[in-house]
Amino acid sequence: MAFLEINKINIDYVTEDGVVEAVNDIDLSLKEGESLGLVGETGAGKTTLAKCIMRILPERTARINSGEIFYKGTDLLKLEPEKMREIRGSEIAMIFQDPMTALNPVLTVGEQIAEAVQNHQKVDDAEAMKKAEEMLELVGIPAARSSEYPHQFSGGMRQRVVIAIALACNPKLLIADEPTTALDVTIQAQVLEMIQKLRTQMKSSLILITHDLGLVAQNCESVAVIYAGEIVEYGTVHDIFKDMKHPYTVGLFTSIPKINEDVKRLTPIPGNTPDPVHLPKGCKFCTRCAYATEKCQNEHPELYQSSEGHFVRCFLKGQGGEKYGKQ
Amino acid sequence: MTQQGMKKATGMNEYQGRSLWGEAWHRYKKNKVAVAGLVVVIALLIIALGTIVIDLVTHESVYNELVLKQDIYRKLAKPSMQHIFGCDEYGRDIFFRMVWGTRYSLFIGVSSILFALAIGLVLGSIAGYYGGKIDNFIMRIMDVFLSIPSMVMAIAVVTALGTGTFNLVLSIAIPQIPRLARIVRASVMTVRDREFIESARAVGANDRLIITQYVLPNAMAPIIVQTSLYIGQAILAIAGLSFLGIGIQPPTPEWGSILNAARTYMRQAWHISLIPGLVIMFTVLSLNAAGDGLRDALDPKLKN
Amino acid sequence: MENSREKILKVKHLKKYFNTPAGILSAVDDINFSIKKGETLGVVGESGCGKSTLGKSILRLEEPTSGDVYFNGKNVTKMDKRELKQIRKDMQIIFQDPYESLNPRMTVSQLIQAPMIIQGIYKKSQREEMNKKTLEIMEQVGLARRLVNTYPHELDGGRRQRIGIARALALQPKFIVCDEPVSALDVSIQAQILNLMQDLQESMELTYLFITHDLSVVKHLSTRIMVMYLGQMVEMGTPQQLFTNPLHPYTKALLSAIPVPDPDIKMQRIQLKGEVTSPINMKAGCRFAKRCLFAKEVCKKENCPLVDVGQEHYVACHLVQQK
Repeated sequence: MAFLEINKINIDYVTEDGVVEAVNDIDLSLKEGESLGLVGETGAGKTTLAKCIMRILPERTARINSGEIFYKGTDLLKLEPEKMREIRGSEIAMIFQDPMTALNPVLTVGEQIAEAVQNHQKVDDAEAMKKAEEMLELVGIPAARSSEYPHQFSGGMRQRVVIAIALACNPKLLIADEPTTALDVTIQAQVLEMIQKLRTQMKSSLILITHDLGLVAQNCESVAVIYAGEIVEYGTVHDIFKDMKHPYTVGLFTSIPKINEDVKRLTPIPGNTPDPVHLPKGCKFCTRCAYATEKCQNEHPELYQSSEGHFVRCFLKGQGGEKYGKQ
Repeated sequence: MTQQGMKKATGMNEYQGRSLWGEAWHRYKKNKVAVAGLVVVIALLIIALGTIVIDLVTHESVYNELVLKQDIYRKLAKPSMQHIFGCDEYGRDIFFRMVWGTRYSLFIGVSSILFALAIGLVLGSIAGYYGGKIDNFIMRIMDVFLSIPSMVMAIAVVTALGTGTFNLVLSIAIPQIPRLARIVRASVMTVRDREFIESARAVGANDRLIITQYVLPNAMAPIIVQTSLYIGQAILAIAGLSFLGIGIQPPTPEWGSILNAARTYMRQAWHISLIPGLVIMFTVLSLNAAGDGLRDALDPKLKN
Repeated sequence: MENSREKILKVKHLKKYFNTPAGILSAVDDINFSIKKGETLGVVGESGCGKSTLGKSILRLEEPTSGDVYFNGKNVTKMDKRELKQIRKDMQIIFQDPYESLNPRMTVSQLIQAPMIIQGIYKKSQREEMNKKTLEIMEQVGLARRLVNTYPHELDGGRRQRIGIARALALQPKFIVCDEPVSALDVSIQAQILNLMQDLQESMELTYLFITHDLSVVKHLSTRIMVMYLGQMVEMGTPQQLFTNPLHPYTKALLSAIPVPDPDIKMQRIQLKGEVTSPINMKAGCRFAKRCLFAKEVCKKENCPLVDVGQEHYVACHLVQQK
């Protein structure tokens, strides 16, 4: 059994406008120590999936219709809330996007890390504080600053504190949701380097949610490209970056100006992401795809395996993607 | 600026079919409580105007007969078929007194708050928009006004200017000006630094235009709600002043003075205090519901 | 001085200081540059380096503390209210956040018409012509006609940013400050907007000052690039010069920090010490010295002037000049 296995998960949001199908039949698996990149645009369902693994979806609006999430063989979705709380933090931890709001402004950063430690380990205050200081040192903040409050830290340092909290109990799985979007490039590089270092030290797995293809290329071993709640392409980082098959993946690459290549003009994906309440019937990408046929509009494509471990959800079986790229 | 123009535009289909007020009304209709509030407010207005017309036509003979005529035999009479709300300590029919009293409470309450709002809007938006020394200057004066209890202030105004309806409006309005100015200022300050204000400046808009078309429309929500609440307070304040003998003079049937007079007879005749109390309460509630609905209706971000 | 004729914008010793409780913050400190007509000058730097303030000071949306901005030979910093309103027709800005920079109470057509009405380009009687012009502009920026009466909150980020661009274009400007116009957008939409801006530049002969923190975007668009650090320009040159031969240690560090979207190219990151601070109460000396790996005594004591190292490649670094 894999370390983390997600089977046919379906999540809806019930809104005033109607039912939003946020996540549709997502299958994923993750090996111990592996790092997976989840790539997609706003509203693709990346964060929803992550929150579902953590079981922190808003109960009033979100509905998990079907599916299973096996973590080391136990289905997280069937777990008692009490048991889930123990897993959260100690086994699976999540880093959120905004370091400014993730910290409690009236507690010192040391207290906040110590609290995270005590939530999962039976240690006394002094020991928890010692552990907190160790964690701070680990993320590159002097232990002496543990008695300071979040507002006394810069954005990059706050994000590192958030990471220290997430890593305080040596989680086996770390989910990082756009951990560096709010940070500058030089700080981003520092933070990611640090996450990678700690990850190898603790042998934990990583799910990195981002829209930045560069971050994925530099930090992940496998990649899942998500569009409108579905995985449209999945494979190793080489499959996705060197042998992309799905027109959407190709479109993502032609959309970004690259630092290492010169293009006179970008080739964007035409149109906008479809309205989540009224998704196209067939292939979800057909409205924006240059190669969409009648079949694409009416039938929903299944994932097919293009090579060992490389899956694509497209009727064109890769031909479309290649043509797209050569435009 | 463009809203009126929008309606006039012809020949281009895309421009038709959407006007600010039309849509606001469309959204307002969806809010049942607000519609109920509006119905009550309109009913009160009709009653107020109706009694004024009756007085004009009949040269106040109906007024004298139904509202002012005393009858010692009906003193503190309980509600009955003839007198559905009962009678007061002089045997006057409370129903008719309440009906004729509508105009004082409603008109004085509403006009005094609108008057205070007009001044509060100007002072508050100038203070909030410009900030710094101008803000300090205006708000410290407002603080001085705030430090005087509103009743004392009202008494001072009436004493200085003399009694009379207009002076009564002023005496109720003046203590409310600093309160409204404060709300306007706070609300303006939250909008002032938003990027669309800078965007308006970048195309050459002057301060007056920015305040009236960019800042205030986006700052109105809390102001509308507070204003509708203050109207309720103003109605009660008229009652207070009447009680002190510097508001509406007896035997004029003003709601607050009816309520005040009833206090003495609370044990013998509870209905005299209950009826005006309930009427004032429902009026305030209705104004509030209508104000709430108006706030939501004017926000295009809320769903149609 | 032949070149000066085609220079549309000249910025001289521009300074913008803010008084903060902690002291004087020099957001823009003695910046000099010029832009030629039809050119795109990219301004890059990390948050708090003063790049936005620079853009806004040029347009006098922030009053500069001192210095001069010449637009077509006229000094913008010395203009009175009336002249300033006039010059706004020629100098426009596109804002970063398409969610915040549009008045939520106005429809798309009202938003695009507001600049024209404010500037008195159309009179009240010319409503029809203005409506026609509005549709023309909407077509130009790729907004469907049916959207005229929608409110911004009903639209997605990409369309909203198109409205922002339409507003700027409504006055037919010659020069546009683009303040991170694509940072808030998704990648696929970002490419659409960047292409649109390139097309508009060609068809309308626009000059851009393009402010961004994204080095790949700036490289893609710019004729020349200026790198800012704590309110000062540290390096300026063509994308070719900066990306193949960066001279300032900060530029080098910045370039090395960009994650390359290619798993075969491993990043060789230049580690910087510490973090960006605020330029409050700055003393003499290179502002980057504290974080610089190569800083010498002289760097901490003396300001470093900007010098041309050849072919209009400017850099402010003691070490480069010593070589």
